[in-house]
Amino acid sequence: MENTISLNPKVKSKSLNQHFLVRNMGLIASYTFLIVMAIVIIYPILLTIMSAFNVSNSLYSTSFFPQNFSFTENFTHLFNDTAYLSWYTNTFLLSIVTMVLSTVIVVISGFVYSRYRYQSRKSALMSLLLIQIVPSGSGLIALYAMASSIGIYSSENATLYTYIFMTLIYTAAGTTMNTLLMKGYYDSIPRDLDESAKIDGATQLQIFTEILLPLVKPMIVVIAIFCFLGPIGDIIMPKFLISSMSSDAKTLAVGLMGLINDLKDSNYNVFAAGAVLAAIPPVLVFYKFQDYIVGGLTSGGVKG
Amino acid sequence: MSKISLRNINKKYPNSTSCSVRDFNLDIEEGEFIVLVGPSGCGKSTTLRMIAGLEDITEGEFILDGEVVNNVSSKDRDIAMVFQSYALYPHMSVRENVGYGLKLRNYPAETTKKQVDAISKDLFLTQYLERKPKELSGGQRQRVALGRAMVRTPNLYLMDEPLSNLDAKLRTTTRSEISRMHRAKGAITIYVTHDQVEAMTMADRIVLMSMGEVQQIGTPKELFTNPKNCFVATFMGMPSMNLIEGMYKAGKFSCHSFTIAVSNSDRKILDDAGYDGKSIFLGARSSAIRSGLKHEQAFPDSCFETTAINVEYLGDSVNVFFEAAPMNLFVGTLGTGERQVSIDEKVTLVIDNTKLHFFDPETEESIKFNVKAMNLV
Repeated sequence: MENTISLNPKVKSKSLNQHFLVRNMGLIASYTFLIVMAIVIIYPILLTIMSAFNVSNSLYSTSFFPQNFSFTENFTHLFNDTAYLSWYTNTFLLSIVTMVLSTVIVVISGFVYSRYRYQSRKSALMSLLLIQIVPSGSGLIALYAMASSIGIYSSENATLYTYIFMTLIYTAAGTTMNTLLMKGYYDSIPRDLDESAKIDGATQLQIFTEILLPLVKPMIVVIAIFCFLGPIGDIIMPKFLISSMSSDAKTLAVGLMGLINDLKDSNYNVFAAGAVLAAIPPVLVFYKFQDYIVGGLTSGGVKG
Repeated sequence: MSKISLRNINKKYPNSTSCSVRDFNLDIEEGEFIVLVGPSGCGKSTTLRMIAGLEDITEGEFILDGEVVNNVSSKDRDIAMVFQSYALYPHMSVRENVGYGLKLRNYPAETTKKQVDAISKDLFLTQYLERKPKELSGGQRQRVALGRAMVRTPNLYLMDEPLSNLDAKLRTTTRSEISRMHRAKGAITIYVTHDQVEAMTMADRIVLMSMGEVQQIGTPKELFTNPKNCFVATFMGMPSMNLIEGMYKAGKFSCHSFTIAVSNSDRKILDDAGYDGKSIFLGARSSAIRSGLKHEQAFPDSCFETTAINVEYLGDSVNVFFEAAPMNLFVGTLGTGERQVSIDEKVTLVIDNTKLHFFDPETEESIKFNVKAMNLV
C-alpha cells in the first residue's frame, strides 16, 4: 500500500515532464525560429544606432558599443559638411507627393474595379497582374532614355523636372499592385450597403464618400504608407536619373550611399547617423498607424 | 397612397440562357400586404429587386401611380427596403443609421431627431441609439433595419427575407411587429420569404412562385383550400400535402395500398371532367387523415389499414408517418384526444373524403380548381 502511494507521484511527474516537451514541440520550434529572426532583424538596427554615436573612420575597427562616444559629432559633421538637409527635404517631398497622388488614384480605381461591371474589366485586371511580373529594374534604361528624350536634362530646371518625372514613375508603380489590394478590400464590403444607401436616397458620389470611404479607411492607410515608404527606400532609380546632378539634388538614399561609396574617404559613422535620422519619420508613421496596418493587411490582402 | 402594376415583367441576366422571372403580372391595391413566396432560386428576390430598381427590368412595365418607372433610379422611386443581411452602415451609430435616409432628403436636423426618437421608442431602441451596429444583438440589428425603413413614409415598403436570420421565437414576435407597422403606415408592403408560415400569417395576398413563374396568386385561404396545382398544394401547409397516384373508377379511388370512395360532389366533378377510368393524383392534407372509431363510422367507405413507422410529438397533436405504397411516407396529424399511435403499430386510418384534392397526373393542374374557375365564368 505504502509503496504504491509513494511511487505514484514520481511516475506521474516524470511522464508529465516528457509530455510537456513532446506536447510543446511545435511551440518551442516556433519560438526558436522567432528569436533567431528577431536577432537577425534587431542586430543591424542596434549596430547602426550605436555607430551613429561612435567617432571612428572604419567599419572594420568599430565595435558594437561605441569606443569614442560622442552624442553630436557625427550629426554635426552630417549637417555641416554634406547637403543632408536638402536630401532630407527632397526625399520627403517626393514621398509625400507620391503618396497623395497614388492614394487618390488607387482609392478611386479600386472602387471602380470593385463596383462597376463594364467591358474589358477582366482583361484590365489581368493586365494589372501581368505588369507586376516585370521587375521594375528592367525598365531603368528606358526611363533614362525617356527622361532625356523629353528634354528634362537639357532644361534649366533639370532638378525640378527630374523630381516631377520621378514622382510620376513612383505613382504609376504604386497604383498597380495597390489597386488590386484596394479592390479586394472594397469587395469585402457587402454590396447590400451600397444598395441600401441607394434606396435611402444617396447618389453614387454619396455612396462612395459617405458609406464606402469610411469603411475602407484601414486599407487607405496601409496603401498610403506603402506609397510613402517606396521612394524613401529606393536607390536604383534616383541613382540613375540624378547621378550627374549637384549634391543638393540628391535623395537621401543616393546621398548617404555617396558617404560610404568612396573607398578612400568613406565615413560609416556619419552614414549611420544619417540613416538613423532618416528612419525617424517612417517609424513614427508606423507607430501611429500600427492598428490600421495590421487590420488592413490581414483583412484586405487575402481577397485581392 | 399609391397603386402598383407589374405588366409582363421578364428578367433575363446576361450570360444566361433562360429567364429568371417570366411573365410576371400583378396589380397591387392601396395598403395591401403582398408576400412573394417560393423555394430558393424561384425569382422572388429578383422580382423584388426589380421593383426596388436594383435590377434592370428586361421586358415589361412597372407602373407606379399610373406612371411607368422602369428607368427611374431607386433613389427617386421613394421606397424603403429591409435587407436580409440588414445592411446597416457599420461606421454609423444606430441614430445615424435610422436617420440617414432623412438626412439625404434634407430634412431639418430637428425633424430628423424627433422622427428617429419616435420610431426608436416604438421599436424599443431608445437606449441603443448611440451604439454601433456591431454592438447590437441580431434581434436589435433587425429592429434597426426595420426602423430605418419605417422612419420615412415612402410609396412602398420592400422586405427581403427580413426574419430569416432570427431565432424561431424572435421571428414570431417580429412577425407581428411588422404586421402592426404595416397597418399603422397603411402603405403597400411587398415581402419576400421562403417560409410558407410567414406567408400565410402575414399576407393579404400571396404570390407563389416557382422556377421564375407565378404559380398562383390569392389570399392565404384560397391557396390553402383551393390550390391550382400540385406545386401549390404541396408548398402550402405544414406538413406538406400527401400526393398519391392511383386510378379513379366509378366513384372510387384506388392505389397500391388502399381503395376509398370519393364524395358525391367530387365524383360529379371528376366524371364531368372525363377522368373515369383514368390515372389521377389524390391530394390529402395530413389534417384529413384521421383515426378512431368515431371517424370510421363517419367515413365507412374510406378506411384502410397500415403501419405507423414514425411518430413526431408536437404537443397539441402528433404527426404520424405511415407506410403507403407507392410513396414511402404518408403523414397524418392526429389530435392528442384521438387514438394514440406508437411506432410499428397497425392502425386503421380514415380519410375524410370531403377534404380531398385531385390533380391531373400529366399537367399537375388541380381538377377541382379548373372546374371552379369554369363555373365562375
